[in-house]
Amino acid sequence: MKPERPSENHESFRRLMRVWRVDSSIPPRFQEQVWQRIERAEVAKEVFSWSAMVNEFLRALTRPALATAYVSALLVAGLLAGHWHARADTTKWDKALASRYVQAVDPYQQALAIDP
Amino acid sequence: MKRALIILIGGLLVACAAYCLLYLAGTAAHRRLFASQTPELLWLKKEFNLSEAEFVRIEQLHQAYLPQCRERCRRIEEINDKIIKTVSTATKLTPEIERLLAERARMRADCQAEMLKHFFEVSRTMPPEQGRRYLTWVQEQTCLREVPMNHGDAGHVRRHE
Repeated sequence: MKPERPSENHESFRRLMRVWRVDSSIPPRFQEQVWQRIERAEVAKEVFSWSAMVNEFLRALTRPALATAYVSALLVAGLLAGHWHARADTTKWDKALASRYVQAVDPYQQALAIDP
Repeated sequence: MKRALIILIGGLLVACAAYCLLYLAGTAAHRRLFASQTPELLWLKKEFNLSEAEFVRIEQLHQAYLPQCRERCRRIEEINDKIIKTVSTATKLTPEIERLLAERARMRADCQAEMLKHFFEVSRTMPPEQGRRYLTWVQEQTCLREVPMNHGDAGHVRRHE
């Protein structure tokens, strides 16, 4: 099968474009409106700041669903952190107590025991 | 905005309260151990699931063992001092130094034998399974397991038999 050459495609596309006509008319002040939208987008980009974001967040917090989700998430985070920290500390203390027992019955271990 | 700030701060307070609650609950048992006179023995009770009667017996064995252990340590320290003094004035190996070294070695051996005897007594006081676990553990943790010997040869490390 003979592959189509790019130059031939180009020509057919040009023919199509020559016969294509747009019948509908653009709305009044279309160009002006496009420019206004571009300007608004640029202004909005410039005014983005952390304080605006915080304000937006605080405004969103007044919604009951988001407030409930926020408090629940912090509650779970606090519980997990407390549990994890307690677990880490008790493991460390267990090692320290084991070391203390060994040192009590075997004084030679005072130099060798690892400090908790 | 005021309502939002109340929710914001309230959420943080809830998180702090939850953290403190779980941390205090999770460490309560250990904090009680540290408040006692012999936390290491209470740890032993917890670690090896000892009953109250077993714990009382082990505490008695422990309290009986410690003064004897301290006395042996004191005598070894005395011999250590004598060895240091004798060696510092000597220019060759004298019969006195040999005698002191032999005496220290004998006392160390006695010390280890008494220690092992204590471990066996403690393990017999525990339930059989826990007793075996205790013996394995103390052998790994104490001087009954000697440190590896090393003459400085690369990769050549041997243990005392």
